[in-house]
Amino acid sequence: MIENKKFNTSYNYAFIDETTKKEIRRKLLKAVCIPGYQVPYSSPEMPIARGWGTGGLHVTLAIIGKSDTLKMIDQGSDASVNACNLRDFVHMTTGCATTYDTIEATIIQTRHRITEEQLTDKQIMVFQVPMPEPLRMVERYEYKTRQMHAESDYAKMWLTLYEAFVKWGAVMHGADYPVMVHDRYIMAPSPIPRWDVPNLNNAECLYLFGAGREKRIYAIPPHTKVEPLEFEDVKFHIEDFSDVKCASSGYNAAYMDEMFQDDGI
Amino acid sequence: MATILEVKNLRKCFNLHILNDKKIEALVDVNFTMEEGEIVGLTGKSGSGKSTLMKTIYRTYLANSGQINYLSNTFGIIDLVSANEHKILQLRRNEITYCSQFLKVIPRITAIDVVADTIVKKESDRINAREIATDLIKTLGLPVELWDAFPSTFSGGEQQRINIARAIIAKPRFLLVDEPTASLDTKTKDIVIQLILDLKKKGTSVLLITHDEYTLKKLSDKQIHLQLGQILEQIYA
Amino acid sequence: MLYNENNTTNDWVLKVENLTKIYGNYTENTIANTGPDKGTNICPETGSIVACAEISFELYPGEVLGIVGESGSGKSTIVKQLFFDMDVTMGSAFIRPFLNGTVNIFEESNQKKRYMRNHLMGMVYQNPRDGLNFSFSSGGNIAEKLLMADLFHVGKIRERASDLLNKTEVPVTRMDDLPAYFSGGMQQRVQIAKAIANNPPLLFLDEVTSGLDVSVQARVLDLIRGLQHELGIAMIVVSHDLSVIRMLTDRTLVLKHGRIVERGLTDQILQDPQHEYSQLLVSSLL
Repeated sequence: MIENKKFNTSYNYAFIDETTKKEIRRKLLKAVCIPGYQVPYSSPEMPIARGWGTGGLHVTLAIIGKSDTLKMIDQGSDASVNACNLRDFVHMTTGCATTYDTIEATIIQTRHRITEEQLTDKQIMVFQVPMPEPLRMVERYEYKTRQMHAESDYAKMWLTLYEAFVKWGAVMHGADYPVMVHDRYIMAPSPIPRWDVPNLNNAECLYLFGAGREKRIYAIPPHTKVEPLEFEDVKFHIEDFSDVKCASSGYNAAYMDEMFQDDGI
Repeated sequence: MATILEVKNLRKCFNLHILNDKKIEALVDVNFTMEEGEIVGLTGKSGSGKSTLMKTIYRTYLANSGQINYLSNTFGIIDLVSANEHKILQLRRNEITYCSQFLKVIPRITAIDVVADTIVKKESDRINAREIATDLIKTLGLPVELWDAFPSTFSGGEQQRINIARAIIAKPRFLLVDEPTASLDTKTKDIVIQLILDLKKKGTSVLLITHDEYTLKKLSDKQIHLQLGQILEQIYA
Repeated sequence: MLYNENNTTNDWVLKVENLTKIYGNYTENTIANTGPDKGTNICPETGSIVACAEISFELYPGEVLGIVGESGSGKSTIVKQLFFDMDVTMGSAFIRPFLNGTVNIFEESNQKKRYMRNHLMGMVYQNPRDGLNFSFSSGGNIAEKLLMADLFHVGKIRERASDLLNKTEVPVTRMDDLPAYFSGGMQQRVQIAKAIANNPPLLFLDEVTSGLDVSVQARVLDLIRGLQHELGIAMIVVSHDLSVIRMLTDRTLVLKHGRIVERGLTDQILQDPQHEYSQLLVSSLL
């Protein structure tokens, strides 16, 4: 049998070629050195469409090794369709172990939630970010937002919070609440609920953020000060779940999610 | 008694560029002095240069040459011709007041506020200023209905009283007043004359332009008679 | 009367020296080839436009300086450069509250310029769209200025915004309305409230009443006059209308073809103008 060598090339370990991995790693280093600063990167093409987690994938594939154990969360669940898809993809291209258990995992890629378990300094959390620029809501021009970050000109951001408070009596941002990293940059922590934001502050683990469509990478190194934006008299507060309990386990101290059952309740 | 004002070789010539550089000599080599606490009357025919002289001292007109040495509380002896604008503004705010022949006001300000504005600018206490202003225009006999009306609609005599009031209320160190008693009846004339004499008692020096013999006799310690921009004679009362 | 270095005192709040703005390439002859005596702003050699040149003056605390001239004389250019809206070609400026007036503000970093803009200056534009953000409420616009001046307390911000709107005679009930729903005069008043929100020592007013109806104009000018008396802010008022200048200012600069042709006390400029152009302007008063 004549072997078809032309079309039978196998992929590089972790799908991305080594030169691109090198570039992403370099950008990751830069991101870790400047907490909260968005570093532009090459965002190579993936067999997954933009908007489905390519940024997070880029970061994960650049840092993953044979001995790592991967946990994948999407829409806050390990069993969601996209989570399964991404998990299989990474397993196929790297051969590394996968798990649903937070404590076993070394790399956790996530969208929409930070794990309820506290992460250790042996773990890395990778976020999929739809919109890395927190100022996009107030300023549509990229060159202007870059200047605003460079000069710490964040008055417009504060103003949106003020206006929300004035209009509706409370700051309404439920997810992706803007935070101030290391007293210098305002950062979008990706659409995690307010409940998870305090976990970013002074953590043991490393947080990496990848936005594939927007081509930006940023990071929060361990033990970094991360504070949600708040006024002197209108403070940030997390959701209050004191009056509800989990329907299946009775547990109360985690973020409560509503799920619709087959009978519509 | 110190000399408060010394005018030396003052010359003022108007150069009208839009009339093909027509030149009008208004003041030619004017020299005189004034002592502190003196009231000096400027007399002369119309067009002899009285108002021009007064306006040149106040710096509304720029002299072409000469000196106007004024003894100021803030700066000592200062030449008003060449002084910095900032200093002139300070002097106008604190020491020198000019009362023009006709009342020129913004037509939206009430009579009391016109008079009160002078001291409000200095001390910013509007309520107190209005009280003092009210007292003053009461003394001058302005009818109560007019106190909150707009002076631009008043009669000549009423306007004149507002004009004088806002100059006197400032209690300046040096008062320049142009025709204070024109269009006033005898009774009001006496009131105005008395107010100026009260100022003199408190140390104000006054340079006064008037056509009225009565006012001149009652007020001036010295008279300067101008003709064609030059001093004809100085008469001591 | 020529500008004399020795004639100045030292307690100015703003000092401008040789401020110049040229659009296009220029040589050492460009400034000499333009100006009021040459009758043009455009250099015949290089075709560049000299918007303003050799502008030097001082502003003292609590005083109001008027800048008057016709369209194209360079008056707005001066205040735009001082407010950092426009780059400077040549020249320097010093602000007393910033490092005691020892550094040229045009050579400072963007960060420092932003600090000066937010804490030491206020600007009111002719068009409210330049000074206000129409996607935020009017109270929010004032809040923006306060946030830029580092006030992060919502209660205090609202109190100060109400206070300012009261001062500028805008109904406080409309504090949360968008400026698009206000009349032109009210928009201007919101702009003024925003400009003085941080109690700046310097305020620039660029043709603030051109385009308003006469009665509205009167009201806005009266407001500015009252605020000036009450707060003692040093102001630069730019206008082509001599009656605005007469009402508001203590001193005036007359500009033609980008140069100062006459400077002096406002009443002197109005009653005894020396320069040919000033005489023309004054005689054109309606």
